[in-house]
Amino acid sequence: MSITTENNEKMITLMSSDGEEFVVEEAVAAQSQTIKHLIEDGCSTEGSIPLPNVTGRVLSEVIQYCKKHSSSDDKEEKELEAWDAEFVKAADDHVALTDLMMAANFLDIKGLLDLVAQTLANMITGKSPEEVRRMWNIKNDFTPEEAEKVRKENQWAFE
Amino acid sequence: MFDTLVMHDIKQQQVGADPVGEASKIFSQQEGCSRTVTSQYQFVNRTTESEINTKATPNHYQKRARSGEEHEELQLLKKRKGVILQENMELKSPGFPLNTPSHEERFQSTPVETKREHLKKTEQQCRMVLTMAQLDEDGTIISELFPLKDFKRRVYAGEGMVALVGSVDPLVLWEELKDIYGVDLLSFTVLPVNKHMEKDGWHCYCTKKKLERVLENLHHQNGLLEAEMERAKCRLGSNQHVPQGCGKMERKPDISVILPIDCIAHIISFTSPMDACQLSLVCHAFCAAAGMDDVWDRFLPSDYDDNILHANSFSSAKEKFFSLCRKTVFLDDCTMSFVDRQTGKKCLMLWNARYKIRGSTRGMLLATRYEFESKLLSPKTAYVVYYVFDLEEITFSVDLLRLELHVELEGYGLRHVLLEPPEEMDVVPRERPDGSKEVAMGEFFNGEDGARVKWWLGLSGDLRLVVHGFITKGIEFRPKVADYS
Repeated sequence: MSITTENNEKMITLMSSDGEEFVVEEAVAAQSQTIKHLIEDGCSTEGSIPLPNVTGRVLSEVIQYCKKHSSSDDKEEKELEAWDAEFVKAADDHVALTDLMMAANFLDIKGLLDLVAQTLANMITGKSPEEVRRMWNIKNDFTPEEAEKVRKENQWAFE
Repeated sequence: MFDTLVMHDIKQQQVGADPVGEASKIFSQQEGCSRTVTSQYQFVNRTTESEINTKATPNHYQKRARSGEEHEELQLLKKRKGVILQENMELKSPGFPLNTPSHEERFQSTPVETKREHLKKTEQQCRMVLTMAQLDEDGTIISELFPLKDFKRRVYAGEGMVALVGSVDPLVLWEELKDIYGVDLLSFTVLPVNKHMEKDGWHCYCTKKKLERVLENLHHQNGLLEAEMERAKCRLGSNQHVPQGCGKMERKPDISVILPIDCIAHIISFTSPMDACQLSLVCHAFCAAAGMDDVWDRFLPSDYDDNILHANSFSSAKEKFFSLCRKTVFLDDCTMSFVDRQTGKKCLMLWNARYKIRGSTRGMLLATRYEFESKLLSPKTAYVVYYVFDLEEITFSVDLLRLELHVELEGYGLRHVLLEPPEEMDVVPRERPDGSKEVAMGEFFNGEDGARVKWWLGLSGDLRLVVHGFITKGIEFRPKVADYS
């Protein structure tokens, strides 16, 4: 649905997987390469753009991020960095970050994807495999033989 | 339909002061109902009087439920009641005393008639308050539900909380509640406590659509629900013992299952080569992700020259990376560049042949200057500067000689003045793999711009001291390996 606001800003309607609708400026939505391409292909001219992989809860956060990043210029880089830090901090735990990451991946928003990946990476940097498994509740699906093989291949890192 | 936790919240108007006393009250009032989670189910599912039997212990009931003759009936019940008993459910929690004598005694001594009445009543109660609740970290119910509060208040006299676990389909339940009470709006709260939920308004009046949506969000957080449930069970059984690891952090969805492999790889690419190798051992998905070219391409210095590797063909970026790490490149006659395999950062070894000192240093000052562009080092990286030397004849202590090293980044002024190891500091030269010695002189942070790094090394000391066989090999810039401890 293309609505034009008073200051001539084109509006885009995004629909989450659970049917929630978000009306945002095109410039904001176009932060997502996926949406940008959809707009370019003319998918937005009628109705709303459905985003079947993103729930309303996650989408509202993504839009929050896109709004901030489309309205800030480069000179506000410091402030933006601080805002980013707060943004991921609010995501609280790795489950919320995972949701965000999948949305960023699907919507192809590089800045957000990198931001979340960096945050998750910071959690596991310098941690042993066992610590990472415990922290993120990952099941160790290696047999002892397989584990030994992987360990041997990367022997230097365990010395 | 999926597993979820339904809290059966039994509130008493008058709160007893003594936890044990309270517990007894529940048990006496609720009878078997509050004994175990199983028995709770029993009552919820039970509709026929014939099934109400004092001898029907939870186990007994379960056995019967599994047997064929009961199965069909049970299925019907499930459909009708919208409450499913999950037969293979783990019912025992270590912290929950199923058979404490006092419970057993009370159970045995209750007359059959009374029990029947209780059961009937309990069934009604359960239906009324079956609902989802929000717990805080301690397992205390934060939220209280809903417009049905009035019913709850009226019906309940017991105090405490019983967790129902299993495949209760909240949608069916919603319909059922609607049927029973004719409520169109049901305020509910979902587990677990999560900032998102709070932000979104975890406590809301919902339409069916909204309920569906929240449940969808809830779906993958099921692990968490179970953890909360465990905790709730434990609280029921004993006010003191909440087994460790029952916390809400315990059962989260497995990230390696949820995330696509390229996302995992993306995360790993933000760590370091050393971390990537270690993370391979986490699980198959991590192993595959940690070996991906995307990861290792990122670890390679952005400006590395393919020619360095003489156009060798590599089967993977990982192989290329390690091959690069084994190479040293002479940029000029006194600069050698190499890549550190732990961090993937560029390193430099600098020396100046003219100032190589052999033999006696008596009366002699060593001073050497050099400058290079900071892009020879990796950007945004903290470096440690090492002074590398050899000793041929005597041992010596660095602080006798007073080394001074200045590293300066153009445009930044003096960035870091290094050295002159204070006497109290224990600066012990350490052995390098190549047999020579090195001592850390200090560190500096290499920014992103193309500044020039100037350094100046001065060696001065007690001129009366004669040092033989002292050879300066050079200055080495290596990334500071983060202290992970």
